[in-house]
Amino acid sequence: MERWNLVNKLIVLLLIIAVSYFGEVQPSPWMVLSLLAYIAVMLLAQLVHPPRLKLVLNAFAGYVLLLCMHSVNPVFILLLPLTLRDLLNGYLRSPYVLLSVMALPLLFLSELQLQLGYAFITAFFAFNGTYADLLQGKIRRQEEQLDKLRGTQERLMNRLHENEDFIRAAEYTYKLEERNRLSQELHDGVGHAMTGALIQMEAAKALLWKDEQAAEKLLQNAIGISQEAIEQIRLTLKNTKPPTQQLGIHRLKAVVEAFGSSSGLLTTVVHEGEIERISPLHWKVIHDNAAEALTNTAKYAGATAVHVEVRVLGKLVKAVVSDNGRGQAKIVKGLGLVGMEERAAAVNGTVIADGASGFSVTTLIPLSEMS
Amino acid sequence: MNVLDIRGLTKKFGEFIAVDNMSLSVREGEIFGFLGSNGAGKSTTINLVASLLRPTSGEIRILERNIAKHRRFAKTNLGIVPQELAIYQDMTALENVIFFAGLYGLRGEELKERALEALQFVGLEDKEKSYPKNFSGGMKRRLNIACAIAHRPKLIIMDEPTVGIDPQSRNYILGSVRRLNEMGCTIIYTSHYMEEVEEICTRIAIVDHGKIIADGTKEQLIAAITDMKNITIELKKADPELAVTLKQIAGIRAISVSDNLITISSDLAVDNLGTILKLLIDSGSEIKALEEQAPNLETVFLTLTGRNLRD
Repeated sequence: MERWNLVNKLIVLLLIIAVSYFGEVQPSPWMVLSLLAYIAVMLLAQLVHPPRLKLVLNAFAGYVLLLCMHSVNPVFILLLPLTLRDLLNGYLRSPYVLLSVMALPLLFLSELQLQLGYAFITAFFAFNGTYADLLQGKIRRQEEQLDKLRGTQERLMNRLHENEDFIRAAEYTYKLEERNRLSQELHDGVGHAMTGALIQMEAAKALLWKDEQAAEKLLQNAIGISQEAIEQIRLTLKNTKPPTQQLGIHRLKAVVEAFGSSSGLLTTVVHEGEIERISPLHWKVIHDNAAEALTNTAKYAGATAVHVEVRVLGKLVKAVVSDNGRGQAKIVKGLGLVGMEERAAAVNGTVIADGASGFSVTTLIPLSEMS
Repeated sequence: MNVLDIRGLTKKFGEFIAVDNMSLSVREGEIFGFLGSNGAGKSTTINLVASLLRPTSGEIRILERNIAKHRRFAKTNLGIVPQELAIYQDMTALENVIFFAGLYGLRGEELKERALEALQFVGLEDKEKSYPKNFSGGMKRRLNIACAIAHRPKLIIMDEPTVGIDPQSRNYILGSVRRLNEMGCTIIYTSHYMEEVEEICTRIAIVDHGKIIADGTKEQLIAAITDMKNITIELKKADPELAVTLKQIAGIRAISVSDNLITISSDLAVDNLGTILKLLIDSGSEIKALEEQAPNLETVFLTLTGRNLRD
């Protein structure tokens, strides 16, 4: 803006120089001196920072102008509108008032040519300046919007990363749990059987030359046990597909029960449908939203019981947390609800909050067929 | 082409959010149903589309032009049948239509011609000189529709046009919605009567608490919540063996027999009722009662929101 102002003044200065150069037979050194003096004061006004000092310097520039106009060349008046604009811009809001004040000195001018020039410059720069202000405002607003969008984007990116981390962690946990299950089963079944068979074989070896019949029986036992163990291994491996997705509902139950015992509310958790179709990421949204809704219930609802329900419908998962508290006729969205909505929106879901009888928060998430 | 595009539309009254970040598109030639309980935000959305309210945020486009910038264009392409009757009791039927069509920008001979045409369309051509105060509820509703369509808008929004009227008028109105659609109008139809929406709409959005919680054809909406139907058959005497033979029929997932009552869960997509009946009759069973419970939009609404449409 300031640079723009300077360029404007420069244009008018060039005009004045041109007018005086062609108008007079010999350019007077006084003219040059006053021009330089004005430029110096004006530049100083641009350079200083304190607003009051700026004001004083601008006023001084105006004074220098009037002085030059009076005793050197009346053409200096052409710079007055711009100086007035500098002086008053921060104080007069309406562009029309500004224009009128800038046009005021017109009344005191006598020469027609000067009047015309002054009027032209005033009108042009008043319009120009107002338009520049307008554009500047627009730029500022758009920058603010851009900042806001940047913030949102960053938040969403963070959430995305969190979700990705969560998926990785969940996969790792599932693997870990699967490994534990395998080693447990191998230890319990196959390990014990092999130990048993080994003992029998050791005994058979000891008896081999003393009691052939007993030894044969023991060996037969060992063979039987080994066969069973092989069968056991086969079964264990066949059964490797773990009930991983059941973890989701188990964890939800654990969280809700813990909430119930800490808050003293009666809690129930039910699930219906093929819950194995719910992916880990969906579970995360369901967990987070349920936790948030439970906190709200404890804080505001005045309820004695809270019910959590997870249902897998045809192409949707529906998770509901409802309480028997006082409800809320007209729902005002707090940060909690907005957070739940954002989480659900991240997986194309919606959240319905209803306070007609008790308070209920329903999260609907479309199931992706890949899972 | 999309006749109506709504993007991120929000309307707040103080702290209360009547329309909550709603986005939807209505394509040309659709009869689009807007289904939701009272206070779900349907009328607010319509008032926003009609520019009677200013959105808190978001954008509405009619025929791909922003209505905030092209007010006149939006006005001439939009006809609204409001929920509350908007007709003058002391003007004749024809005067009413002329008055409202005039507001939409029609003038002169064309205005009168179109007004008569509209009256004819709703079956009130012989009542053009009568006063609405002598009309039945259904006739008033029809006149209300005539007022909104005389200027031949591309998009007609009907806000609960069948509330509180007799069945004949209701059928007449539903019929005229279809005819308008055949003539090339795109229609948005709001109602909390599930049967009407199910009957005439080609696509349906379910609205609750100012949000669209599901949209699609009736079949898609139902498929979103379940792919099963239940069939209950009461026999004079049910042989448990029947369950085994019935199980062979395509689509049947589960059967239980108790106290002469057979309960069957079956695939919604498979039409197997005929086969089931034939098998029962062939086996010599005597059927006393039969009921097929297929899910409908009411079930969809109840399942998704946990409430009834009429609550």
